[in-house]
Amino acid sequence: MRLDKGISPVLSVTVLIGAVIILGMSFMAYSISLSNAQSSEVRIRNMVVDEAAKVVIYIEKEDTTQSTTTIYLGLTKVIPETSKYYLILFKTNEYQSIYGLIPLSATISQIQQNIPPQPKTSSQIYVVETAGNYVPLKVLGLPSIDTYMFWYIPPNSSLIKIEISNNELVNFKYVVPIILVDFGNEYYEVARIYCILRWGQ
Amino acid sequence: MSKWLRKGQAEIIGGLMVASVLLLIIIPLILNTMTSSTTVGTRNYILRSQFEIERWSEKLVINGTKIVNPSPVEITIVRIWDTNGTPIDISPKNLLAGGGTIDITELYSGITSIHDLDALVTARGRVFKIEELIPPTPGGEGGEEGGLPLGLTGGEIVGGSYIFDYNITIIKCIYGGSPCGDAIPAIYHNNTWYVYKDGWGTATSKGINIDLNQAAKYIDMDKNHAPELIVLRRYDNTHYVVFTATDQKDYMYSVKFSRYIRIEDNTTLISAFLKVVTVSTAEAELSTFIETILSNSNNNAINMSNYGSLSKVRFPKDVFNVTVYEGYILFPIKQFGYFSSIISNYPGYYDVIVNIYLKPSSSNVDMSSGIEYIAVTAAYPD
Repeated sequence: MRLDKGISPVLSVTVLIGAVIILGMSFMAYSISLSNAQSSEVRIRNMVVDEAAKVVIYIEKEDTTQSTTTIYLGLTKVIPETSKYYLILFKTNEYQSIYGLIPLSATISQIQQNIPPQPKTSSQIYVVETAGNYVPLKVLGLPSIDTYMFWYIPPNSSLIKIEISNNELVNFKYVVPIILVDFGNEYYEVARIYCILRWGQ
Repeated sequence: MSKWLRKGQAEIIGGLMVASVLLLIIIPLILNTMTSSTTVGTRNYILRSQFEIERWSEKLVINGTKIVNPSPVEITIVRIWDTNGTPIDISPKNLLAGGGTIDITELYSGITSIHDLDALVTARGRVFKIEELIPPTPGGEGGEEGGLPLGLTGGEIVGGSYIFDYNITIIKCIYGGSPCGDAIPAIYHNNTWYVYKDGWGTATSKGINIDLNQAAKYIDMDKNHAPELIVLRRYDNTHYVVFTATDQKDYMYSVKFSRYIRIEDNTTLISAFLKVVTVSTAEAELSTFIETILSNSNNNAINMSNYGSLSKVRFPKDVFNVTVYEGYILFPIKQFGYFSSIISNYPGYYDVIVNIYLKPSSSNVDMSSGIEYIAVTAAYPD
């Protein structure tokens, strides 16, 4: 029948157009989700880079006695704005490489007030490796690490007192405080300093 | 053209259209991402480099009791470290670019002299150690090290305008066995007489009436353009410099520089460098004895005198005979048990007291004496 002959192409076209619409929608949804993910990553990266450019840390004083090494770490900002930071502390013999970092226990205080440690899972913490990429701290094989939260309130720079038993530092060259900033419950490195131990290895 | 070819052409055109649509979406997305990263990066680079330039342009120097900012950027001092190693957050103190100053005493209530301070911290995170801010003594022969005679820095030598950094009192003044009336320290500076009476000030502001004609002769006794710290004593309502010795009367005075030096318990050697000038009229010679004492607030004291280590030069100048005593007095702490026990048991701030005794060789002599400079340093084991 002549009509039978006409129905078949209409059905094919309908199925094809439907398939194209479904594929198109799926592709669009995938593109939007990819684009959002990328935008979000770029936004976080920009915020971290922005923060890293603003944070300035320096050693204000270092004091070594027979039993204790005390480091006074100063933190200030290029643009004075109240901010919250976290400190993590390591010792190492390898300058700049994150793979030699070993967690270090210490007593941390700010203006005579003790800062209690807050353990965080290491998959939440991102540090900068030699090539400049952010990698989660779990690459060091640590399940968790103690973080110490403190505030920077302008105009006075923050002063963090780090007291370490010398027994902890035997055979190590550097104490490495790393400053983290919190973005969405993930913690990104914004500053790091290598304090050379004066009394050597 | 065959039907097959026409069909292929349509597919290619369709394919190009799809690719174009994809590129139109993806390229702006990538460009947008790159642009936003570049903008953030550029802005941060400019901000940070500007900050670092300003940070490393910061400079402070100490001039007497003033902290001076000679740098081209404004500096805010936000924290000080005292000599006990304690950090003190202070209310921020701004020092304007190109010469802004602040008095040390304005930093914090407990700070009265540079010797109470160890370091200054700025809002940009620079740490200035006080000992590095004190300008060195003007250079002499011997290259760079020529500027550091006897291992001292300029700030450690107290004389001239540096006198005003210290609380100086005359704790004893005796003439012919009787106390002098209202003995006060004085120095001629910038064409004005300054006296220490409840702090430094001009003689006029402190209500001290000096016999200026007589005092003018004793502004700079050895005429080397470096005025000496002298003693004024009151007679009636006027203060005088000179003592007229009759019957070869003795004259002695004792000058105290309060909280002059901080001494640690492991100090091995203390040295006091000083220059004392005496003058007398006529041909009379003054027998002079100089003694240096270090004493703390609990009156624990060690003293040494001038046997041998002070050079003595006597020469005529105008109508006077001038005698200059210059050199050092050593306190070998480690070698002597008494010194060692005092210093090791009572570390901290010590006053420096200089006792000067004068006895003229003949009667009817006008005599006076002054301290041109003094410096005390302490040495520690390596």
